[in-house]
Amino acid sequence: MSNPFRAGMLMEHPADPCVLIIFGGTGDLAQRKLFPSLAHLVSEGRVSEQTQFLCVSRKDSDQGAFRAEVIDNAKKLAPASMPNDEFARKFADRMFLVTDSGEGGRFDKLRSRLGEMAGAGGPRNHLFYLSIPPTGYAPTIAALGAVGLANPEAGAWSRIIIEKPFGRDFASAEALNSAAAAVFREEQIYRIDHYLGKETVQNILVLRLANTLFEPIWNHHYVDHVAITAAEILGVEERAQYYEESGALRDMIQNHLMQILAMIAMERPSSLAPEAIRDEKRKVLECVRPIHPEEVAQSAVRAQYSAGAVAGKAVQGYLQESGVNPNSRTETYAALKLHIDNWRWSGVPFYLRTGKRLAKRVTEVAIVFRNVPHQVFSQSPVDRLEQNVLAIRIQPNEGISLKFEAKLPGHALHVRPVEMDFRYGTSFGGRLSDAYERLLLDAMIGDQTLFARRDSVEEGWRIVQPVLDNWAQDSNDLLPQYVAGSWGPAEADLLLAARQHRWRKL
Amino acid sequence: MSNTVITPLAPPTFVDVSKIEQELELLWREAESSDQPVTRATAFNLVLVCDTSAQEAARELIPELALVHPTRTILVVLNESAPDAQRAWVTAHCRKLEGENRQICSEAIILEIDGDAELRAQSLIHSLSLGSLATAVVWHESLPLTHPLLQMLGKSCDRIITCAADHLAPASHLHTWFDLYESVPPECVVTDLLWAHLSGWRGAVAELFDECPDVSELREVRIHSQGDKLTCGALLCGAWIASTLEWTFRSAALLGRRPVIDCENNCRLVFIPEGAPASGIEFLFTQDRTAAVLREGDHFNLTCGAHTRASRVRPVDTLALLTHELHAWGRDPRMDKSVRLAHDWLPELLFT
Repeated sequence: MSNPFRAGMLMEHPADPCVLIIFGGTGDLAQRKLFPSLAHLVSEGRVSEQTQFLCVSRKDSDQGAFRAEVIDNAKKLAPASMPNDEFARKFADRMFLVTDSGEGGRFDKLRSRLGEMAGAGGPRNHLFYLSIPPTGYAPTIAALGAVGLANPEAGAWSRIIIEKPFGRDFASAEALNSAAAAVFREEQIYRIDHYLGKETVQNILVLRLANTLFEPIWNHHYVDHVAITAAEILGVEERAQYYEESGALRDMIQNHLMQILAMIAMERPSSLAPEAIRDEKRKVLECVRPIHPEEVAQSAVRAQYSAGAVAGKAVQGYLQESGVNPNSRTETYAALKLHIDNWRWSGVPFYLRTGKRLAKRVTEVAIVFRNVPHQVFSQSPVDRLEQNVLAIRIQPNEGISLKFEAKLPGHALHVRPVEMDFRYGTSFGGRLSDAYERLLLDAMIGDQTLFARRDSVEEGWRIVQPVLDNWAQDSNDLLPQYVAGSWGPAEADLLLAARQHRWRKL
Repeated sequence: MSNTVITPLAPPTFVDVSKIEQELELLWREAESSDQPVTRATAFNLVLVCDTSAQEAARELIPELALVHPTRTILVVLNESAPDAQRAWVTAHCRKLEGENRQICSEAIILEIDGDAELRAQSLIHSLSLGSLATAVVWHESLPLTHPLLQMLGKSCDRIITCAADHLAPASHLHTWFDLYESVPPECVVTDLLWAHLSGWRGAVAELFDECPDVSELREVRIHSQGDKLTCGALLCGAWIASTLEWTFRSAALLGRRPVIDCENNCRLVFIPEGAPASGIEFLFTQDRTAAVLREGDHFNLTCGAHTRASRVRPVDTLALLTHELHAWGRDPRMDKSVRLAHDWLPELLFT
């Protein structure tokens, strides 16, 4: 019999006590995001008092120094996560370090350590977090399986969080998924895409399913096109080595933007159960029309940033960045035109673009509606009407705005577009949780809704694979360039021009 | 809670009651011309009503609530023993948006109404509430629930939160609260902070039964409470447990000093007002098995058979409870069921 006292308290379900084992616990992601997020969760009482954090690191460090480093970094990078020294001390007491110097038997050492912790009354549930370079994923998963850590004791659970990238093409993603499936069951695997933990992305479901207003017009009858933008002002920073292997299409579009597209375009799920939502996401991605090799030039654009200025500061071009091959053909900008071949979206193009060193840091989804069918204002001073746009801003200034036409005050008939604007920061006070907080907690609770399932990851790769293949074969010497601080290459505008569409000014 | 700082846009300005809106406009115009841009944010009307004894605490609450709920706040302070008079102040509180120069500000109107207050207060609240937005009324425990102003506001607002039924108040208090609950139109949602206050206990019981799953074999629940009388908190908690378990009420009686609720299928609830410093809930199953949730300092001890573990009690204060309640505008069917059940028990409990 299920627990009747839980009824109505689903959102308050506490996370089971567990040991969170972070591989790469001394790395950048762990220090910048994971520990501050965990500290917030602890300070808000959202994780069990018994939960402990065990970091596996290749760096030779002692536990005291490691704890001090984590606390110092958290104070520096996320001061709100460490409200006072007393809290910091208690938080540090829950962190343990296993140094992994690369000698044989290191996973046996980890298993023994977890056994000791359980023997001393600690949690028997294990949540593994792979915050390591992707080349380490498959061997780590296999090693966890080999020492029996993927199979929990009776009454306990064992889960694994895998950071993106989930492969670098369809074949490697399939291989990684198969390697994971050989050790863990799908319900144990949490593929983390931090975009899905963002408040506004979660709000897409509420916007669509909790309002009468939008769902009736959420289709090809009313929507002209959809544009999804993820623009960054940063360059490759310290990640040149990773980025050179990846590029914008792999780094952003195949995962983050494809997941957002799925949330926007999927059919209504029958319930909010994780599998119901993930099934609909998979179905809509399956409907994305394959891009044939001969269509790549009309459906995809790539480019590299050249020297320019961002926010008033001169910056160098990609090829001059430290750690970048001067002859690199890695794209720092990518744009795609996709079509979804189903009843709802027939004929509606979905445009996806992302780039580094663009004019502004902004991520948004723009639902651009069709023009009114008959222009009654055509004989008036109104020269043209702009299309209505529903813009879902994912970052910064999370919120939603609706652009529509309004008459200017006065005797003459003049019309101007105006905006109704909802901003999270204005309408709701309090702190917006970091995406990692939400996702770490969900993994501890066992809710996979906001994690990518194997099939949707592979669908994402299926969609971009022809573009990757075509780009890999293209032997032109230079990629199209765009000036750092601009909105990207002119070729990206041409991608939309065939349908008289334009990228939104952001 | 956020570390964001909230600051007054300007100190409260004494204004003529008939010119409150004009004064607010002036306040915003001046703010807009300052070098730090402001956004006037209002998600709903928040009406706080108290008497002079609670005035200071209520004034302190305004900026704290504005941090999380941007509202037009109307604080009404009643002083019914003084001769008829009314005074007003306007102010606004701002918080800075992260990484921006812009401030998000919420306005507040403070009304002191002396003398025979209900009609004047009601008309002022109506005229000052922004019509397109919902209105929540927070009724302070310093004023009785039978106050005619509350009855009037109940007919026009969307939400009433009372703070009258302190969890240690005698159970008879729940009777008055239930009358209010029944008297407002169905579209107005009435809650008491008591229900929010019990959320810690409810969470702990739910946590206990995650690991102790034999609910169907539960035969007796003993609720220990502080004080020497049956309290509102204990009664509502018992009603929540009984309604969750779908126990059907048969009769109520006193066993010594202990009120006992007998239910169908030989199940029963026993209230134990022992005046002990600690309080807790014991669960007795068939075959002498037991489980318990005991409050000890800042922890609940959850015991199921031989296994005991601690669960942290989340600290709650009026501000935290109010903030939480103002997030939830819908009716909570669990509270509805519990309150109705407790109300059904009351006549027999109070008069046996």
